[in-house]
Amino acid sequence: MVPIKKGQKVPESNILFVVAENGEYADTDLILCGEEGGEASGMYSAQYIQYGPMVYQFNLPEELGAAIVAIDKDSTHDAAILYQEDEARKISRQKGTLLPENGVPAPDALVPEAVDESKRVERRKAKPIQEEQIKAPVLEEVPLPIENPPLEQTPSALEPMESTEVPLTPETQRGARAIDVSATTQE
Amino acid sequence: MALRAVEHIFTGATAPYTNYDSTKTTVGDLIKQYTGVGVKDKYAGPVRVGRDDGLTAFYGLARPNETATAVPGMYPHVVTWANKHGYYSTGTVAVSGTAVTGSGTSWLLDGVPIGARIGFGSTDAANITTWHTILAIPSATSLTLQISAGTIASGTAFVIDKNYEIDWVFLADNAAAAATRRITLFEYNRNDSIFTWKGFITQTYPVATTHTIVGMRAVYANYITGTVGVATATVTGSGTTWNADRINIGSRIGFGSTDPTQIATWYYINATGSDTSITIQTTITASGTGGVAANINIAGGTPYVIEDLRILTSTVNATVTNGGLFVSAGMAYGDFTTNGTTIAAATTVDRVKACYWLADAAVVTNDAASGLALDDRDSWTQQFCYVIERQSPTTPAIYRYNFRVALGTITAGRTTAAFSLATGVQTVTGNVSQTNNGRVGTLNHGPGSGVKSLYFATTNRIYRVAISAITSASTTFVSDIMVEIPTGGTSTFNASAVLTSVEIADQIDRLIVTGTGGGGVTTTNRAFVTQYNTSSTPFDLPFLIDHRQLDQSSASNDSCPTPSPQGAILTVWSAAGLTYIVRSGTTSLTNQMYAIPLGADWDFAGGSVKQRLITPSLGTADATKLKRVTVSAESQLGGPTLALPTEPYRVYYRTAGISDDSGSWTLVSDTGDLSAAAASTAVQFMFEFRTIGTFCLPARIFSVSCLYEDTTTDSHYQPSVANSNITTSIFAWRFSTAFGGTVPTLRVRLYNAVTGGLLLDDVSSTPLLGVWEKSTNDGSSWGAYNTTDLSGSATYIRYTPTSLGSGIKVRALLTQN
Repeated sequence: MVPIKKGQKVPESNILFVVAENGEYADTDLILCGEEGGEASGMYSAQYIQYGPMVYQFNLPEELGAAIVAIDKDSTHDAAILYQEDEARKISRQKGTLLPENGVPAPDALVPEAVDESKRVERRKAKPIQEEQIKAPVLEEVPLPIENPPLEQTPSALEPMESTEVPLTPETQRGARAIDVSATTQE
Repeated sequence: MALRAVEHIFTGATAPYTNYDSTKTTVGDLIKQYTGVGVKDKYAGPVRVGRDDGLTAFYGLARPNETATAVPGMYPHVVTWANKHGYYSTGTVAVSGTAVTGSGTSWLLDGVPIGARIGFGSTDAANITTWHTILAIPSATSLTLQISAGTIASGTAFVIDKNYEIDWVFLADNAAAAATRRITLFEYNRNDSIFTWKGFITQTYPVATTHTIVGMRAVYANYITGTVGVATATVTGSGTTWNADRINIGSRIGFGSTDPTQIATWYYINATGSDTSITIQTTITASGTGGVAANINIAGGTPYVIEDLRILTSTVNATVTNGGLFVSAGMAYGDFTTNGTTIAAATTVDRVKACYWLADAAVVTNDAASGLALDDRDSWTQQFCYVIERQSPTTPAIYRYNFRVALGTITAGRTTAAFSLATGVQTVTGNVSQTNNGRVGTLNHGPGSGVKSLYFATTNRIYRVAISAITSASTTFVSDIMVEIPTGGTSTFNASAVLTSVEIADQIDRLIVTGTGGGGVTTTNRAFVTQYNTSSTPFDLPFLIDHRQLDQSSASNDSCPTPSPQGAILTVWSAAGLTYIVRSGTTSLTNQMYAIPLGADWDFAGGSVKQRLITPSLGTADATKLKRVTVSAESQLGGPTLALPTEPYRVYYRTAGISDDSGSWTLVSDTGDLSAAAASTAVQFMFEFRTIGTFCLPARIFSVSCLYEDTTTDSHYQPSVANSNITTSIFAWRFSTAFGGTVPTLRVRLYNAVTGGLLLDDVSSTPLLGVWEKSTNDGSSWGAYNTTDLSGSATYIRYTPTSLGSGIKVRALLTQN
């Protein structure tokens, strides 16, 4: 989520400001912007208004998350949360408080302590969202991307590459969810 | 005869085929002559691909996923921005520092581009040793140089080398689907084969659900109607119709010329007042407004150019009805920056710098787009594009949009004004590809000859749809079909059934067919160049092979990058004979772009654009016999362990019709044998190249040499004093060098050594005026002459004329006939 304020300056513009209402918006929600006193002339993603063009300079959410946390450690942007969760997991592993995923503990291993998930939840709850803010319309026809969470689709550069041994032609059927071409071409 | 040689090294002046000059190396527009510090840096051949000899530079290679901001790219679309050739040398000049003043010059009219080179002191480029780059062209009689050329007196001759060829290559974002999509711009210089990454834009779509681009076109056109004057930031037009012609905020404008390559300073339109009034700013901004207002004054009647650049994308969406066709209007070259420029989603305002959703209906039905094809521009308010809708894998429909039309009512960036019509569905064989599928063009052969058509691919067919057949609700739009039959037939290569795209190779009137690169042993993993046919004739030529070499920057320094599928989809665009091939993976391992001169292939070298390399006329004075041509060429590229072979070439010769290019050419066999050639005072060689090959690494020719015999004693024989006899008029020679086969017919000529007059002329095959004899024992005994080759050091031949006057000083000449 990204907090947006009416009148907030649009990055890389001398004359554009947010004309939408204050609110806590989803990262990719489109926010109406325009010249001061003028009509709305463009819409930008909430994350872009908050963090600028760097949000489009990364392919992996972990990388974007790291960049956002570097300038806003309290960010509730999805990528920032993902990154901080990942970092917390790494630290826990280093401290021996969290087993590697799918790991088999040695017979003499210490019983790991439970990860304190409440802190993460606390951080998410740090900025309560008002109902009216959630409902504040940016665009009526903008559906929430719940069908296709982008972070889950993003390939990890750390994963080993495999050749595509089966002929692939990306297919999308009418009424069916689109298949990501990038996924079909990835090795 | 003595054996002599004449050599040509590929340095010195060149001339385009259209300005043939027998004193220069002649090159087609895809044939280049390169130079550099090293010996192996000087060569000629098709636009280079691969590596240099020092293994320090790559040619025709870009790595989109390894730029400062990594954007995995696909679906190349090319705008040929500069395409200048030849020389200009009319008039004279004076130089003072960086200022060049012309007399009798008209370099604006002639199309001299900024970035071209000028040399002083001669009108012949071959005589120029120091070149200066042109920085600006303020008028027909003034130039500005990048670096001072000192002081040069007026009346000095000059020559401008106009060669300047720049392609803009746009790529679509292939990263994981997201609510925004990036478009990348690379610049490719055809003269040095170097890609330069310019940067990217980020398109904010008017719907924020995740988009996957399935088709992309960068639409570029120059608006030059009327003339203008400028007062501070207001441009006033005469004869202009900017509003009616829908010029966008954000487009860049230049003054003083209608040729963009002659514009040194660009301005940006930030308001469109009327047909005859716009305002401009000096800086480019993401929104198209809010920049620094211009403050210039230009007299009325000045020519100008507005670059109209729009990015069209068709997408499929996580929420299917949020897909369809989108256009980002008001784009400019300068928007593509290394940090990226974020383009806003449109709201309700037409003709601003923003991304519009060109929906086909209130609830989009073009929701399973499969690509995008672009038709010609009919006017500034009409240009159609076509989006193939895949309602099921085998039932496409075609949607037509006019993306230049007034957008009418725009709600939250969405309008239905651009939608023109949709056909019904028609069942096809094979699944319709969804990777940039569709290409509009006119072939000059086959069933679609002369008919503008939309070509598209299914997994095992190429379909043609005449543009005229794309009508509302039609269910019979398909004109005809080509079946996938690989070159050599399916008993040579299995049909892949994984075809993904079809592209028109413009200069050679052929189709380029590529597949997914996926599959195991049953698929070919090759690409094809072919004519379109409906007769189940196999594809004409295969090219590429899946060699699995990784071309990322961390690959071995010995490896030579070359296109291959590697299990990834190859997406292709062809422009002016050059084919841009993108391996469309999403990581640095599998995302590279190559520029390959397929149009220079020897099968098409004699076409309308002659893609050949021709040497200057090479003097062979006193030649009596041409013997052999030898060519020095690069045989492989890359380091010793991983080098790849270059593609082959053909050599032709001619000895007549050189000065006016009228002579016919004869193909030389691989032996280089020229024995059938008629000797003349000059010889000329021509090269044709294979570029549609396995690795597509064109040959590089360093030099060519011609061996010939001249009018002195044949090189295989030495005059023998010991076995000659003045008294009995016997003329003998030692057989010193074997021919390597049957001795050709010999010819003896006896001259009056004082007057030069010919006394006798006879041949060994049918002697009429004397007797030929041969000795194999140093002249101890003589027998009948024969054509047996040399077998030892004691072989001699002699000729005794039947009669020869006395008291004459005679010079005997033995040559091949």
